[in-house]
Amino acid sequence: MNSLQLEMKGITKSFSEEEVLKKVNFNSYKGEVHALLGVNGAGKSTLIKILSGLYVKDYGEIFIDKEFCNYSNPHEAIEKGIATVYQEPEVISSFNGYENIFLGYENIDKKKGKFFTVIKREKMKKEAEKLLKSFPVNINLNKPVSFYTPLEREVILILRALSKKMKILILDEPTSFLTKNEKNTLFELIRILKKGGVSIIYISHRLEEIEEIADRITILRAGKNVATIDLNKDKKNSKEIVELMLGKKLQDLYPEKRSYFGDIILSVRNLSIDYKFSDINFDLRKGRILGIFGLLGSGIIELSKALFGIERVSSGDIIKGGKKINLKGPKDAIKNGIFEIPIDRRIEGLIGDESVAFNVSISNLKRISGFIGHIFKNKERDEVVKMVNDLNINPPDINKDVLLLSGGNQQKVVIGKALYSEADIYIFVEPTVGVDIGAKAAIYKKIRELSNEYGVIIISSDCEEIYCVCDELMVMYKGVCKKKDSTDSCSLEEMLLYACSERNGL
Amino acid sequence: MRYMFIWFFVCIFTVFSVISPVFRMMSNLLDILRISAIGSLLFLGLTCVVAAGEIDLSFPEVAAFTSVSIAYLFQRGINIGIAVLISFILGVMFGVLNGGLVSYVKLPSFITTIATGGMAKAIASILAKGKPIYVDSGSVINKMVFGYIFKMPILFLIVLVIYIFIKYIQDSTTIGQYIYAIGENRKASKAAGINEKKIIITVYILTAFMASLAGIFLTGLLSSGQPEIGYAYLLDGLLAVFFGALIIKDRKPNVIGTIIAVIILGVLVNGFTLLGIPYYMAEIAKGSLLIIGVLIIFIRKNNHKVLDKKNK
Amino acid sequence: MNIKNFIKNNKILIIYFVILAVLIIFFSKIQENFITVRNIKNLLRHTTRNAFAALGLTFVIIVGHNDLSFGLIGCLSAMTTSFMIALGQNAIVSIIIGLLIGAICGLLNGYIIARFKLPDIVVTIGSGAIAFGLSYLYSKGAFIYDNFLTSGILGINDISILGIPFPVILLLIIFLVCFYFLNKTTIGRKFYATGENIIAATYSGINVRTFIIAAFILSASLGSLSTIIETAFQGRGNVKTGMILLLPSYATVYLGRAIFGKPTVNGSLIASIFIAVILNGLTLMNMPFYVSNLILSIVLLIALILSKLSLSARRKKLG
Repeated sequence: MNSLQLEMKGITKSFSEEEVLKKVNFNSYKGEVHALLGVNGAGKSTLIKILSGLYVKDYGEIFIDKEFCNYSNPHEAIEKGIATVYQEPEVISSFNGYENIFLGYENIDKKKGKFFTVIKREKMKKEAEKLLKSFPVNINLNKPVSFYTPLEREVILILRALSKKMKILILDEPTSFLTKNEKNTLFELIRILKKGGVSIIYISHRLEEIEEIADRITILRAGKNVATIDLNKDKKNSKEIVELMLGKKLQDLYPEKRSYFGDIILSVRNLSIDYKFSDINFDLRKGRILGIFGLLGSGIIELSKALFGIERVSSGDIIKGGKKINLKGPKDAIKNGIFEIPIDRRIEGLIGDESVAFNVSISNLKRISGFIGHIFKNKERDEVVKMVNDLNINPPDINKDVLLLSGGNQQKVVIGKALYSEADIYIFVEPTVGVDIGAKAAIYKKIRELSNEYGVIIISSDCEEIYCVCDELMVMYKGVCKKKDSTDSCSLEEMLLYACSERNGL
Repeated sequence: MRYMFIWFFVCIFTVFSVISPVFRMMSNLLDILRISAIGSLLFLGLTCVVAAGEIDLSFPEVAAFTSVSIAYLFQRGINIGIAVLISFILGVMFGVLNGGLVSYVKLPSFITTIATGGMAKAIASILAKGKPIYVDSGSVINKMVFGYIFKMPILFLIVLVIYIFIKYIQDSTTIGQYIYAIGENRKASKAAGINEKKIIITVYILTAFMASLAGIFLTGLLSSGQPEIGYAYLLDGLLAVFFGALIIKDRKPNVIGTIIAVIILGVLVNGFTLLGIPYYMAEIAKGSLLIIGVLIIFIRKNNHKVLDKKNK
Repeated sequence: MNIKNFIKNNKILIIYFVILAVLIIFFSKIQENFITVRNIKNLLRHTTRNAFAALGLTFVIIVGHNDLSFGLIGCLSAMTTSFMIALGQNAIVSIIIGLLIGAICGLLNGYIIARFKLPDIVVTIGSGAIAFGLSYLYSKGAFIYDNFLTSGILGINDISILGIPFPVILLLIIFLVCFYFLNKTTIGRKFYATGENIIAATYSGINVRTFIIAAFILSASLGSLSTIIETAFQGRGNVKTGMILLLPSYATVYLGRAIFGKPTVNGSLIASIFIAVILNGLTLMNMPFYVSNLILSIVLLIALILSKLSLSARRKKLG
């Protein structure tokens, strides 16, 4: 009987006013793979960040090997034997394999590398080779990591964790960028680690893979435990798992849909960016909100960049008003009447240290300026105030520094900027991340209003959002469109299934 | 890429040797080595600072400061050995100041070192009242600067030894590793547990250390404390570091590359002088080379980023 | 209540005026000839020389970059103008050609930096060296005197309108134009947006490359204006004219930034007055130039630390 390596009890965490984790329990035995599942916003990544020391829990207890632990930063977590491999591997690209394995801990004899130690390269190489031997991977540890494939980079990080004799290994979406063969190699590696007694916490949305590799799965929903299933004893199929992830209750946030088919305002044919997504086709109509849904690694983010001119397409066409348009940058897109509300409003959407008025009018300064660009402040004030009232931005002070607003209101400012540009196609990317319920409802209502006269696309990894707000939907998985349909003809479970699975249909 | 530069250098060297009889004289070549030695010292620390992802524009002024300080104290009757020691320590203090401001107060390195460099230069000028102070720096320093062992300039050999030592640190110790790590990816370095604040302070102290050392030798070389060493060394330093990075170690600043680049620069300047090409033409050449060098390094770097994405 | 609010929001500005007043009183007590017509004219002359260069640099800092070459480009422009005069051209044509050369250098700077995304510090050290070397070509580095008296260039400094010297009027005009464009027009907003968040600016449809290039052109051109006016004052072309602009200009722009919270032309203008007062006072006290440099470096450092502290305070408030 394997012993309990990790126990997390009653973990509670809030950000600002929002409770993100509510008394969550999670545990893991030695030598098991325990998968953590949940839709966007369920709390998985917060739980993991607490475990790895990036966040500090508000309440709850963590026991490692039956010992109570109280740590508050990643280094202390590493000392306790917890290692994490993220999607963005934290390696130094120009260093070679063994240098990355021992980064920060080059002093092989003692526990932690002191500030000044002589590096014994031969010894490091030997140790690295020794670690590598037990695994069925053939990596040239002498090459710089920049030449490695994604799998090799992940392996290096796993070896780094192994060299510190970790007890708990967290893998965060490890197969997002791997090929099928690479995934199989990774799973062999995981099985070897299991035999060595390591507890592996596996986060993924790819249900087939989880069925293949996990011993147990825990499903979170809205920050609470929903179920913990032992896959060896209890064979649940994908449909049942998806139902547990979604739950039966759908919130009352969503405006009524309408069935009005307007003109086609944008067409996309065979759009591809090499290595990111391929062969995307759709027609966007006024009145029919198009939702593009996919999870990490599906290509939706790259698609959003292609539609706004941020990234160049490798092949395919974007057609508006009957003409093919060539987008060399956001300025071209805006000139063609396409405006995108980007994912990360603080980095991509807002200009901090400036007022609400500044941020709204910046997309279309022509409206408030005259000859040689003179700005008519009164006109700006009137128009921005109208926008602020229309979107219900709170506090309605147009001179307030945008960084002082709440997340939801900041997002409204970005939307205001988009509306101000008088585009006729609006692309919303992850529009309600970090936005409270009240603002969410308002944003969805606005989006529905917009769709009556303009083309609207929502690109998101929040399945409920896409399903409940959009009229048409497209599901992407591994860069390919798996399903294109109207949301009436498809169920939420189906949608999620297509985004998580190789298979077609239930 | 690197072979291109070596061939270019060999050509230039040959051209100079053919055109100017003075150039190929042994005494001239050894002179180049001797002069290069001081530049090499000055730029050693700069190499590490740039490798760590920062910049230091104060090092020429720190050298000037040390140089003047020695002359000033000696003139006031203090024993030359003690004068050297005190001035050296004061010079290194600038490194501590730079390091502290950049890593703890988190000021931008470029503008901060302009300010501290300005302060060092100003203090030097105040001590020297704007003019060089002439001193005889004593037999020990003179011997080091002007002497020869086995027909090679002692100064150059001293610098060579220092370089070999620093190269060892660069390649075989954690400090060297971490300097490159934080220069390339600060986030990953911190995640791996590297204390980047300590590394940054270390490289700035190293720069000031080497600059002060250079200052000592300069006093000997010029038999005076010189407050106006200046801007020219800035250009030469960056040129040496960037070209050194191109020649060896595939676009990363490194000490061997720097010293080779300094010698190449020394040959070029010497050749230019002997051929009667005026100093300002050399300036134009150096400025152009710097921009070309940076273009090459950064265009390739951006291409690499694209490659990285493809690998995903 | 309005006065209380004003004081709260502009603490540093008030401190600035207080210190300025203290300095003026101090200098006038120590040196009798501080407050004389002749000295005030001198003061104005120094202010304008620094202010032009600082104004240009302000644009580069607003777009989030650095320029180490504007002084040396100024050397090239000044020598070009002198050379033209020596060839027999009239003053106005010579000045225009000089400014044009400066603008072209700025254009090259801006293009290389913006298009290839190269580090601005290293590139401008290189381009500064090239410009400086080129400025020697006209006369192998010697002073150029020919035709200065007859060309009318000296008039720039001699002409006064209503008792105010022409350069001062020029400065005021240029300052007002810059102030207008930066604060009241769309162009100004786009400059600031580019510097504050280049990604968000791009995503809002701003062509950030254009503004970066424009900033470098302005920096080089205004630096050239400064050296050309100085050349007119000196009555001869001197290769080293622009070399001393770097430190005072940076100190000015950062001091202005510390006062107003972000780089502005009005900040740079009043900061240049502050610095000119210090430099002038020290000169009257017969302090050599290197003492002034020390003071400038210290002012720069203090301005940097002040800016950093207020930035940290603001970040803490936002959480």
